[in-house]
Amino acid sequence: MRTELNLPGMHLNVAPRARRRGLVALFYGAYLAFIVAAWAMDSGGYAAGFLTLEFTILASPILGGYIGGWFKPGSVGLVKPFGGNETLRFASRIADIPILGRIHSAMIDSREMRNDERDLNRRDRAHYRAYRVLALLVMLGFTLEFLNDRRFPALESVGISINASQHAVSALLQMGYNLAITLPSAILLWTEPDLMSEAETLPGATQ
Amino acid sequence: MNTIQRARRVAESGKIDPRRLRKRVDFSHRFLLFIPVETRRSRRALVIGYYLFFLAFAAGLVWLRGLSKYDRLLPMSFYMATILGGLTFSGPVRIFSEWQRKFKNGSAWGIDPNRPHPYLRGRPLIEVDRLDEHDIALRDRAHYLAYSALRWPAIAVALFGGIFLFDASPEKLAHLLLILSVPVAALFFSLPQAIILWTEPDLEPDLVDDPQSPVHETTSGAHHA
Repeated sequence: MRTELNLPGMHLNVAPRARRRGLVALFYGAYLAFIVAAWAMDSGGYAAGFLTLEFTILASPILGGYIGGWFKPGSVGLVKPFGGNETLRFASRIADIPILGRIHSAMIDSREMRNDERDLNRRDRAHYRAYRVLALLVMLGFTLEFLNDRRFPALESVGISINASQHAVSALLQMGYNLAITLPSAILLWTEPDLMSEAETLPGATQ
Repeated sequence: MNTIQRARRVAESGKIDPRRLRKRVDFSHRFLLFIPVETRRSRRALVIGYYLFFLAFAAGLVWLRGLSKYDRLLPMSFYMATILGGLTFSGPVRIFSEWQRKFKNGSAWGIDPNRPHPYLRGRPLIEVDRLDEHDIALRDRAHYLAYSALRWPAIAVALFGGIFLFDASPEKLAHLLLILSVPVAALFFSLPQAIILWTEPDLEPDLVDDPQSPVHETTSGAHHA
């Protein structure tokens, strides 16, 4: 995991866990604000769906994991690419292919990509937790769909229209899409203890 | 302490009939209904059979009841996945959740192990085998692999959704989402268990069957009970 967030014109030290948690809260807070605004503007849910896609693709490289950079794999993301070791194996396989091997090896920095045993264990555990959260979301969607049945209008009897519950299922789908891509990285950033910053790990930094 | 040692310890404490314990701890993990799942070969056949059965069930439902009943397959994707285990105590794969495990142990709502659930008052408490380090690593790894496989539909939607669905009507979009959501849900609930069943090696012979059998065997041939 990186201890510094490098964005164009901005370097943010995220070694302390509190800062990483703040970043995760900011990420999901911004997404929530955008999606609420989109639903307010377009009640059909098209704008929110489009915004979810764009936000996920454009902003999730900050967290890293599945999407770790805009143009170069693992160039920005705080969390190492989840498939780092597999990507490196793939790179070594295609290294002999004339043009493709040159481009691919130029794009990948193996030190940034490689996961050790602890990284792999933490990655797997984060995916297990994310899976459970998504399962809850899916079950909630199923329940809403079940209550939404026109023959048993359970939601209508408490004043929730079928249209509103359909919108709720759409919003759950959109949130599920964003979470499916970003949640494992967010869990890792949230749970990892305080790290040593790059300045502290430099030789002679304590003297 | 592994499952067998734990089972033996509980049996020796006299709290429960060893035959019942053997059935709980071992039988349920080695058979799915009447199908043995001890060898990897039979487990792989089971996984293939499971997905073929789901496919046949879905096709049969659509054929007999029409597309209007297609959404009934969404909850079925969950219920059928419980057959493989992991999600509930039935099935060959051990339950994933520690919280559900505490419930089965008799803990009050999975919070305090010293306060048994009212339903279990007066009944012998059964110690459900815990997940050891290997089980947890296997469970997490299976979920990672399942997650990685299921991210591809999400990526496909990101790449092609905007192109093909930009001018789709809300009804058409909802219909398409429903059709896509059934296979995704079926895989979502069953894939971790299927990966575990597919990759685990053949199970070792059961030690609990014969309590008198030697536990340790030295290289010189002397046996220690």
